[in-house]
Amino acid sequence: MTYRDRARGCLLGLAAGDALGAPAENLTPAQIAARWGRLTEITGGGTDDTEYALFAASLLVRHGHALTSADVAQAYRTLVLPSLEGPMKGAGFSELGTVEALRRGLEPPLTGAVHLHGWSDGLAMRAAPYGVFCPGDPAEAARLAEEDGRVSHAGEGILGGRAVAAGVAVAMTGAPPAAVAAAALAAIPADSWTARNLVRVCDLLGVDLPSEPPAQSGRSTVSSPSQAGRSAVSSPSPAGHSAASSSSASCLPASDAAPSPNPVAAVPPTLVSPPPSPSASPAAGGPAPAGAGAAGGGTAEPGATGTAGDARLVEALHDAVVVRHYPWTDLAPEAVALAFAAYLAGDGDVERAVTFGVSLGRDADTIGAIAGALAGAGQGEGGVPARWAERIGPVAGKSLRVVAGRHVLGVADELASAAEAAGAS
Amino acid sequence: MSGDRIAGAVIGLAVGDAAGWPAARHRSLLHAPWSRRLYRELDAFAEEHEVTTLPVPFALNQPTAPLALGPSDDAEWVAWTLLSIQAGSRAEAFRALAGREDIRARISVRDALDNLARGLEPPASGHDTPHHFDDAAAVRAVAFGVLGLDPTADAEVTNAGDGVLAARAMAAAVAEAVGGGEATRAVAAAIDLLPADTPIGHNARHAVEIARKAGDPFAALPDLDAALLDHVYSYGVAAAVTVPVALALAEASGGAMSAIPAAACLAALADSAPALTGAITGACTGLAGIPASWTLAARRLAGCCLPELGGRDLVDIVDIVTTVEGIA
Repeated sequence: MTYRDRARGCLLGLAAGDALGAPAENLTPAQIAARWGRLTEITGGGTDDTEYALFAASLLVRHGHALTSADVAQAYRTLVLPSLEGPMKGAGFSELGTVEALRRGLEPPLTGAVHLHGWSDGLAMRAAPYGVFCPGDPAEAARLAEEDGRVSHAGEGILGGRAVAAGVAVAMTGAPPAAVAAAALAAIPADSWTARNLVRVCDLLGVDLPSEPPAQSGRSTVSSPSQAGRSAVSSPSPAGHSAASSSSASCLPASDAAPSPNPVAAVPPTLVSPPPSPSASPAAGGPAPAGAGAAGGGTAEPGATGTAGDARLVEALHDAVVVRHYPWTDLAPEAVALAFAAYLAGDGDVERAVTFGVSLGRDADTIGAIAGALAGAGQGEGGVPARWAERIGPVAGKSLRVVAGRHVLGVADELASAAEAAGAS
Repeated sequence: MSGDRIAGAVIGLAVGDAAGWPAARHRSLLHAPWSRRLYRELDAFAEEHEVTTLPVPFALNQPTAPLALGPSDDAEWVAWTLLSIQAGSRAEAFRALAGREDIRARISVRDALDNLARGLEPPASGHDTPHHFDDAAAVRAVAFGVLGLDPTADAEVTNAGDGVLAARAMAAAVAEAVGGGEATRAVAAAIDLLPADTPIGHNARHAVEIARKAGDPFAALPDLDAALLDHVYSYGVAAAVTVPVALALAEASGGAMSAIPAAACLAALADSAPALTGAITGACTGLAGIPASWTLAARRLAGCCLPELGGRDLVDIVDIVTTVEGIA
């Protein structure tokens, strides 16, 4: 599989996950199951996830490894702010808050900290291109995502972006999902909300993470981005190189910062049932799904199969990481953990990962987009179901007019060319 | 005098708490849930019929006393803190609330109780929540400030980042005001603890500058609104906004109670900014300097958030705690 193929698979998977999840956003798993059984068919367009990812990719094509927060802030000022008339449609609170901060003349990192939605998943949803640009170099991917993130995010929102960028960078090498998850964890501090949630879902899924010692530049902190692994840029690992030896650090579950795992029996990832064939009626996809999410107990029986096992896993994942007393769902620590859970539960298969991801509800389009990007990077363009690829057209520019008319595959090609010119292979 | 200033800080907070419009909404939690459902229906009616006559809390077939002018959530959480300050760890004090369905608290506190139940300890319990930046701990910090204690361990149970910095700043301001009675020094003590590159540190310096330029709390309001409130979301209790406003208005009033009505005019911040402002100015004036009419209205708790505190007298609580602490 070529590097370019993986780049196309990543962004196509992202767009497909975004479009598949869009109608499920903010629904409960029980509502989703009642409405669709398993949601497997794309019926409408994507959302801000795809458009912001294309915007991030365009920044990389233009600036490459030299990208700075100042460049990103300038891009917002020159390319985003002038085209805003009235409300900023399709934008999340973090983007609106960032625009207000920029209008007030603030500079990053204050622009990302002052609006209080620093933890939003708005960076994580657009971070995949940084991983595409840095195959096999998760530290550099995370560093670049953070340069972007400091404009609009702070704290856990930046960590979510770092985790996704690092994970995609390793997925771009064809590494197995557990190594991808380990790379994501290695890119963020163990003592963080995002790491705690990632560890919880890995524990829940019984995922054995590789436990090699951390790579020399695999760790960074939000407060000191300059320390991140820029040094690794000069020698990016070739595609296909073993991720476990090039990038991943210990998976941290034994860290003293890790909480006790949720008291739910581990559910082997293989318990996630394959989606029904596309010809099957979605309404007939599962037996009596409504209320399944409310079933007590929550212990998955080993060997359980099909939607009942899925429902138990969904409930256990919600118990482990979902914030109950906040009215919105766009929380990076939650969405990133659920997206990695879907990717791991689907064993890196695009369709299984994405359909399970959107069945989780909450910020379903972002969960689908991240899971799709991770799986698509691993499987390449051919890993994305053809019937989904057919539904992905140029973006409308509903959220960001500057990317209107762009198609993820064209942007993936540009990004791949830019990365190859910069030394990636 | 310090005893009078300690009571002044606590009653000043309760006065500010009572002065903000959200107090009646919190106090109406003492009514049957169906009466609050009627508010929502009236809100929908106003929308449907395109009328500007807005519903306010009312007491149909319910006692009217809860809707009288009086303190609400912030005064109760400060009283709870004063009464539990001698107990073991702060995490234990909060754990004792876990599982209760009869209490009301900010989102940060609710999330922290969930996190404690999941086995997380502070500071993670206060960090792993989207509302880590709210001013729940800053309000409770008034209890630590009057006793000259560090609020950090308490703050970290429910908050992080600016939420914890805000608690330290409030405790420092109140402690300085209780000790010396000068608003300028109290505000300086608070700002000293706020790094300039944090949102709360940036906002606090900016707010104080605006209020100094305006020369008067009320005159400062339009510029404070323009500079600090982004109106992108309804975070009325963000510590990085409410505490800077309280510091700025307290200083601009010279520590006088006239800062409270100014704070109450910033409608979006009216839940807690008047209370925080009142804690600082009340500590400056002392209980004797607070209008007797307001002390009478604000000293008795409603029990709308912590039912066991219904009917308790804040001045009595201050007496009990300062006696135990050997201050009074």
